[in-house]
Amino acid sequence: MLPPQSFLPLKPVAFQILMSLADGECHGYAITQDIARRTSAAMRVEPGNLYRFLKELLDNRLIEETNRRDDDERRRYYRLTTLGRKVASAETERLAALVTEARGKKWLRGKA
Amino acid sequence: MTLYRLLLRVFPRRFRERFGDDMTATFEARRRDARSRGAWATIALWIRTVIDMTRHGSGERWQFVSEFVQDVRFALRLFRRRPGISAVVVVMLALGIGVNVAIFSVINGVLLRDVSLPHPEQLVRVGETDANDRTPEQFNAGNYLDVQRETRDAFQALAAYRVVPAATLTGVGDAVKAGTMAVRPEFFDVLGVAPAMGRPLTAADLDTSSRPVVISDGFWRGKLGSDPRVIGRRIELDSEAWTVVGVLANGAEYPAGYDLWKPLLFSAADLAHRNGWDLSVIGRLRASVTVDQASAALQRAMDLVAVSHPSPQPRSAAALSLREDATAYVRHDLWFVQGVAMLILLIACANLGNLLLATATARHQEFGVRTAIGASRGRLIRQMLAESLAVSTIGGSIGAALAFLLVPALIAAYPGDLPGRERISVSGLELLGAVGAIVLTSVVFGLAPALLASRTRLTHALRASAGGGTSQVARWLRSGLVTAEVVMTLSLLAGAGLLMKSFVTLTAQPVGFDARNVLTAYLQVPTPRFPTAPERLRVFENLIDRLAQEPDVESVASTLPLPFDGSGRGAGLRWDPAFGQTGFPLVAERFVSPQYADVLSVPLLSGRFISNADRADAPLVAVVNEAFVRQYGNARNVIGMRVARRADASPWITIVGVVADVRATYLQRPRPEMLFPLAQTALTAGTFVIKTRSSPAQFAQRVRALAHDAYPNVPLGRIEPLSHIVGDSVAQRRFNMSLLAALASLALLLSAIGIYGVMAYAVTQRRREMGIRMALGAQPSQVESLVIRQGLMPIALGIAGGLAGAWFLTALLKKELFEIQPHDPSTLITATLLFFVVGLAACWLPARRSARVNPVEVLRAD
Repeated sequence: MLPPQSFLPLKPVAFQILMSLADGECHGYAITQDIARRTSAAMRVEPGNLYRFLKELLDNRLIEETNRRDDDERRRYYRLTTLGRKVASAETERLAALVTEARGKKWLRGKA
Repeated sequence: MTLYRLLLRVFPRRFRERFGDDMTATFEARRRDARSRGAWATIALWIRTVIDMTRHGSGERWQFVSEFVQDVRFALRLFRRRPGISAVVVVMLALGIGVNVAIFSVINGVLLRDVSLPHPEQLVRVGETDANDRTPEQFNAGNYLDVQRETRDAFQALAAYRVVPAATLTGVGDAVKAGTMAVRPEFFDVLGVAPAMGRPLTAADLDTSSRPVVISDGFWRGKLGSDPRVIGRRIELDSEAWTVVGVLANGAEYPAGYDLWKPLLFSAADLAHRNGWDLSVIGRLRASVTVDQASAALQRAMDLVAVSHPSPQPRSAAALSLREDATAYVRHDLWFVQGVAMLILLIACANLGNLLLATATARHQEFGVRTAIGASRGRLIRQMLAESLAVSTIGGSIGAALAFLLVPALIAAYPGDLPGRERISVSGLELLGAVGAIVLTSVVFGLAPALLASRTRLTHALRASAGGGTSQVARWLRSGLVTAEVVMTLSLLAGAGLLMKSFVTLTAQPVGFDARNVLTAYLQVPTPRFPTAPERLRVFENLIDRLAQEPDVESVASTLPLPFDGSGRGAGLRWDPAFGQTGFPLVAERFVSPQYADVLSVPLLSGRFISNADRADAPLVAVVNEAFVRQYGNARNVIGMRVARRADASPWITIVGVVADVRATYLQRPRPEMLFPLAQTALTAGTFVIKTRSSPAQFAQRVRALAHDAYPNVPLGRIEPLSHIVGDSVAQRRFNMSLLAALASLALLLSAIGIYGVMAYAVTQRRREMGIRMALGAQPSQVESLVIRQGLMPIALGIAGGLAGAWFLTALLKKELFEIQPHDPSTLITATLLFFVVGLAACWLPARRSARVNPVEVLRAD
């Protein structure tokens, strides 16, 4: 297994997908809806784009398919792997460090 | 839903199979949601979906393309960052690769491709050799027939041939000349190719009056209009009727450039005379016989000849692979030039390596930051490799394009005969070589800087602020590359210098005649039309008279051979016993009309020159040159002595005068020579030499018109000023010299740029240090000399190495050098000084800039 560091930095969409899967398994549509909701529709991931990211994340074993099926047989559910969790965590730390550094530059208006 | 299925097809099949159903389900879910929000929402969904699916579908399909574009875009940042230096490096690589591809194309065309005959490895040139030179020369008819009989075990076929004067084809449009060979019938067995039409010459053709001739494919198409019933057709050659019996297949002509093959007949006199050599012989080895075995067989056969026909100077014979023979005289030159071109490429590569090193070091900080935000070392190396690959690909592509221009220019500039020049082109193999060069340069010269730069430690890079540390290794590497450039350049300069000095020495020699304002015109009198010697003499004398009457003409003569035209004739002499000389010396012969010495300003030293009174019916006379007197005179007056032109009972000829030496070429020292009156010989050819009052080249048309008026059916050969012929005789050397000089200048320029670049970079890096030094009281001149001293270190090392390199390189030139030694000290010193001056200038310019550093400014910048 590759070290989590080797996947950094994550692309924003990939990070958002991992976040959507943080609380449990989801299907594709649910992921787009979740991202739109959390980012107040600032980031809209269209399915074509979404599935390319899903493919990459699946190929890198950051997420996996589950056996869960609902009324629509065609629909697939995805969940985080251990590696995916570690990568998401490493990315969060990287971003936090970046933000801490940027904070030193007094860029955060009114919150320094 | 059909539309959605259709949109899915934009994705690659494997992607579709994996996610298609899931995506469709998702889309259906979204559509249901949209419907609940009204028609506009549905329309908006469709629009978004179409855009999304086409964009990402094609994106997925062409992912490798977009990744490539991204890499290239990334790599091109190098250009934007330092456009000047990048352009210089691209140009250098383009030149390096272009020159290499072009020269390799020539080598591949000339040396590596085969003669287009079956089993070319079996083809050999065969010839007699003498004791001190194993190069096969020519045969005589008697020896040839004997040897042929004795070597049947070694050769499938052995064929003598002789290039005869070009035949003039008449009766089909304008009279045209066609290259003609007289060949023994075995010739076609040696070629191993059946004629495309008709039959080859056979033994029966040797004793027939029907005059059979085999013609080339080109002659058949070009001159006979591809006549389908050409076999049996009679054509008029030199006013005789010849019967076409066969047409050779296209490409089977050997040697290339000939159109007619007539039977080679041996007269009784030819067979009896074993003391002259005028036949070329080629052979086809039996399948299992090597060239060495064939040579051994030839030697045994010649030993038998020596027994049956004893001779004062027994000769042997040898075979030489035709493939080697055809290219022997260019092989050395071509490989040498290729080697030189490789050095140029290496110098360009060293510069590329230096540029990458410099940028890599300058980007320590950038890399440090990138590492800090998570870029791996491999990622950085890939990026730098992409950059060097981009530079070399651009340079290499321009270089390959350049090669397309260079190849025709090289071929056109090449003065000699390049065998197989029509096959020379830039094609697959050559371009593959270019790709190889690109990959090699970018990997080798991109990898070292990449590895070096990627070793950056985060803390180290962030601590060293702008203008700070440069790693020791990088500094060593840069100096090493400069040293290597200097070594290569100095070697080339020394080589070029030697060739130039040799050329000047060679051409500064007195030739013994005055070629100024002398026009030459070759005349071959067709023997069928003018069968007797007096008739042919009348043609020569008539034309000489007509030319002499022209107001522009000072004097006219004819001579055979013409000095410097590469031809020569020799005869074995028999001495008058009274002369006290023994042996049968071979002396050069020249046949001239009385005005010869006037036209060429050859001084008469004693006695008299050939005069108008020396007619055919007058006593036979000859004039000799100084070299003849030196070698055979024995301090006696040669005037009045008698010689005969052959060992047999030829009539006596009296020597009546001595003239100064005339060189036959720059290379040969004047050899003993005899000049005979034109009127006392039975020549069929000669060259008019015409001293004109104005520029000789302008007179050429007039000469041709005059000759045409007098003899419409006797076309003059090439008409050319003598000075051109003299110049052409050293054209090969001038070409080699110019090419090497051009390549050496290119190398000098490239290394100067390289040294300048390294110095300029070093100076920028050390601005802060210089500023501090000056703040502490150093004078600008001190700073300047410090920089220059440090810059000269690798150059001095390089000069030492370069002298060693020159020692080896110039040894390869030994064959090309005339009267100077390969390790000529003055040339080496001159080359060193030249390089030193250029190197100093390349160091001084950046050094001056460093001395102008304003300490306050620099220190404030921190």
